[in-house]
Amino acid sequence: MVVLQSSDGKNFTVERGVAIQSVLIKNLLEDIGESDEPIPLPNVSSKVLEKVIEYCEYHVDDPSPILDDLDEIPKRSDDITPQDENYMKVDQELLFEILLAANYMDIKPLLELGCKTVANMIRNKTAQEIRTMFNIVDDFSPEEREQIKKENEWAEDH
Amino acid sequence: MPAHASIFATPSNAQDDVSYPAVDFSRPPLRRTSSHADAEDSHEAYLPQTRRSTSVIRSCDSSDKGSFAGRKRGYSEIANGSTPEPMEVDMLARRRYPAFGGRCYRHSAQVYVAESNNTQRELQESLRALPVVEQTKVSGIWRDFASETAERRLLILQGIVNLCCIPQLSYLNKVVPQQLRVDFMAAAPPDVSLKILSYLDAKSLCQAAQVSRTWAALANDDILWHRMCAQHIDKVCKKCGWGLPLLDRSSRRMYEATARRALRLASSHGENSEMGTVTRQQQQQLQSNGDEAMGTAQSAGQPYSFALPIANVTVERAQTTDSVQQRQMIPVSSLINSSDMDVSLISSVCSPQNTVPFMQSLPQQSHGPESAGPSIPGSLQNVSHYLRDKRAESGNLSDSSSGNDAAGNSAAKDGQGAAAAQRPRRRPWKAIFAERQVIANNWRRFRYHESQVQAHADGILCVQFNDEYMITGSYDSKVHVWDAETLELVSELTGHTMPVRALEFDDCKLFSGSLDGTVKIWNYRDGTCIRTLRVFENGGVISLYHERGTLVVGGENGTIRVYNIAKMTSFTLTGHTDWVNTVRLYGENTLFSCSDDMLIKRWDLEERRCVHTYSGHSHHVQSLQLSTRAPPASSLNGGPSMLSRVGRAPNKEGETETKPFMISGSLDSTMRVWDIETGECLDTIFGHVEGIWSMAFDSLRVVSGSNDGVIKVWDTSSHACLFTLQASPAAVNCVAISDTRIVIGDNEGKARIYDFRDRRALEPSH
Repeated sequence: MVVLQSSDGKNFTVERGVAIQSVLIKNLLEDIGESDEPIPLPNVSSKVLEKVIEYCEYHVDDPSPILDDLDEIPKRSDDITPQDENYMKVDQELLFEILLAANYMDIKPLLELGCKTVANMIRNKTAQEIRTMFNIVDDFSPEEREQIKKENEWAEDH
Repeated sequence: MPAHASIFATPSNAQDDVSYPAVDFSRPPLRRTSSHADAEDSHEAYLPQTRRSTSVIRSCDSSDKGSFAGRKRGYSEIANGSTPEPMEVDMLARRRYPAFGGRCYRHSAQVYVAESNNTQRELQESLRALPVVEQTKVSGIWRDFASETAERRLLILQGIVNLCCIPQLSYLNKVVPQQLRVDFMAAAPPDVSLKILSYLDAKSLCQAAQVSRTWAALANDDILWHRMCAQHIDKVCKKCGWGLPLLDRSSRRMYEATARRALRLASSHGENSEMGTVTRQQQQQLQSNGDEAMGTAQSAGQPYSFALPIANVTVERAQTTDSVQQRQMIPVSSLINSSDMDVSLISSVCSPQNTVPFMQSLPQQSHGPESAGPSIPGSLQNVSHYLRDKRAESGNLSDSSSGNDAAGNSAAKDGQGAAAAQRPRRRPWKAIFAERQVIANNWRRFRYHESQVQAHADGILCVQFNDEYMITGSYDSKVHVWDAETLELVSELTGHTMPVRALEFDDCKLFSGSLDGTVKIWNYRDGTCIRTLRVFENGGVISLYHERGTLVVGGENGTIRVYNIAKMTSFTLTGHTDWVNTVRLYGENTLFSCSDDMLIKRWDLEERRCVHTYSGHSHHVQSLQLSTRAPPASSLNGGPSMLSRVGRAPNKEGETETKPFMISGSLDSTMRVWDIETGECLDTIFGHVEGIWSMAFDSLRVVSGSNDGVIKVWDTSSHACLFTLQASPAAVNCVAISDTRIVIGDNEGKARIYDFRDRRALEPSH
């Protein structure tokens, strides 16, 4: 068992197989060996860590991801399982926190899942719809907007 | 007491003051309470800020163990590729994440500043509407809240929520979800943002680029668009089923021509300054071709020494080392051994970038301008695979410094590069993608520009074109060379005494085969006949094909003659019993031929015998084309590692599902698709009403021309008919296709060109 300590001091005891899905923790355990000391994760709050552990527990038996990041392989984002989709049904703040935690803890499948989820939120939306979705202010000057619209016109011709 | 306090103490002042500076809620509130340091920041008056600011506590959650900002610092370190060592973790957490300056997400994202200004103005106006005493009271509540720690804020809110009536809760219910949104692109580390965007298609990326400045910077990123190019150009994307043209040389030629025109224009005007301008424009034009870094050896003071076209050509001509060597040893080979032309070749050059390291990796040779030739996908094929591997090793394909080297080399070779070659700016990958997408859309919607020329007095029997020339052969025994853009006659090649049934040209020479039984080799640029081969004594030449010094000629009598041009040796293959309509080489030792005897044959050139016969057509087989020039590595006998890598590289990318195939067109009105290796007929393509005289295809499209004057364009992968066109009242005798054009020759001597390029892009800039 491995004890993980969140930024706000809560301890989470998980199985090794669950914990080492985080490459950060895996490397850590390899470096310092196993001990009963909790591993501090000063960048992850208990709320997020709990959620991340939920993911890792669910995916504990998954085969290790293929470390193949070839450019030519088109990346799909329509292959999210219903369970994962459900897992990702959280508000944007938590989703963002999960993304950051997955990035920090180096949990590739979770990072990918998070990125795919956000990508799916963006896909097939107009710029205005995207702004509304993420509460973004259009900070282009009128000239810039005109220019940028022109630059991207070609993509609309289908 | 600090200034802000006095403002609160005298609310009447507040009314006079038109614009209040915003409360900086973005600092962790703990800091405020603990030190009151904020008091010194005179710009931070505790004026009502925004509803959002007051409603969000958690983001300023600075109970400090879980400092939001602290977390991000750590992430940013990961983002930069360094996995923190165990002991480092805590230290990293304490470092500031630069993008946020250690602030909470919500109050640090720049976009919120802009919006909160509006909200603040509204709040101020509402506040001023109140009596002075009320103003003090309300702003006091806000101030107190703002100065509390995260825990207390939460406690206060809990109390307030508890006190709220339904309408107020309803209000919260409405605004909170709106505010509880994260601008992922702005807030996440750039590599995570790019990862998100990498899942998007071109259209969505273009919308994303219009969201805000931050989004634009990310969504236009070269890495993303390079990936898009790699996935789509000259192949069909596995994800979206959408492929884009390679435009390997056509666009380059196009821009070169534009540049030359610009140069002429420049020299006709005397003004130095003007010339400078023009030259810069040319340069941009040429760079905007962008697919390769070109040698722009040029100094600012010498606009005339604009060396690009020459330098470019020099680079291009270094095709393969062996061809260069042959050229040096055997004089005649200078006309023979340069790159081969095959308009219908499916090149595996997947991205234009490949040409850059290619140029670098091969020795450059100087040649006269006559033998100038653009690089050809075919000759790049093996090299490009090799380069793809190389690229994978180096891992940085779009490194502009490599382009710079290439430019520098060519400039130096050219002897004109004394002035430091300007660092060529690469055209963004997005622009490269966009250019091709426009053409792909034109194809998809069948939007083209048609032009035609009465090329001959009698029917055209064969046509071939590249972006510079179109060459036609006719019943009238002549060969005409045309400028592919202007359709002006460049030269008329006379000498054959019977109809010209076959021709094949590359960048310096033309082979023409006639029913008079000869093959003539021409310098088609100046119209001189270099050599005449009498191939058959007892019948005409029906077809010919040339590659790497091997010339194959198919005859009226059913025999095929194979020449080694360098050694001037030849041998004959017999097997067909009627006209041999098309011959094609496949790799070093394999030849395919099709004939009026309704058969297609595969020949082993080593053993000089027919090794397979493909039967199925029920009428003359007129045309034949292969999907690739070379067999996959697996069928080579344990070849060199480079070749085997060639075979495997596509495998990795999931491309090898498309095994080498062959398409044949027949007067039985069908085309058949064959598995080259097994000889199995994979599909029969029906659609034409009358016999198919000619067929050509590239990686995306097949074009077929029929006896009734109809041409059809088909999808190369699905074999679905994309469109049908009554192109001519007479039979279509020959067709040719490129990324951007279809050219047909009909039985009345007319050549028709269907051009799918963006017309606007073709207009010279002057």
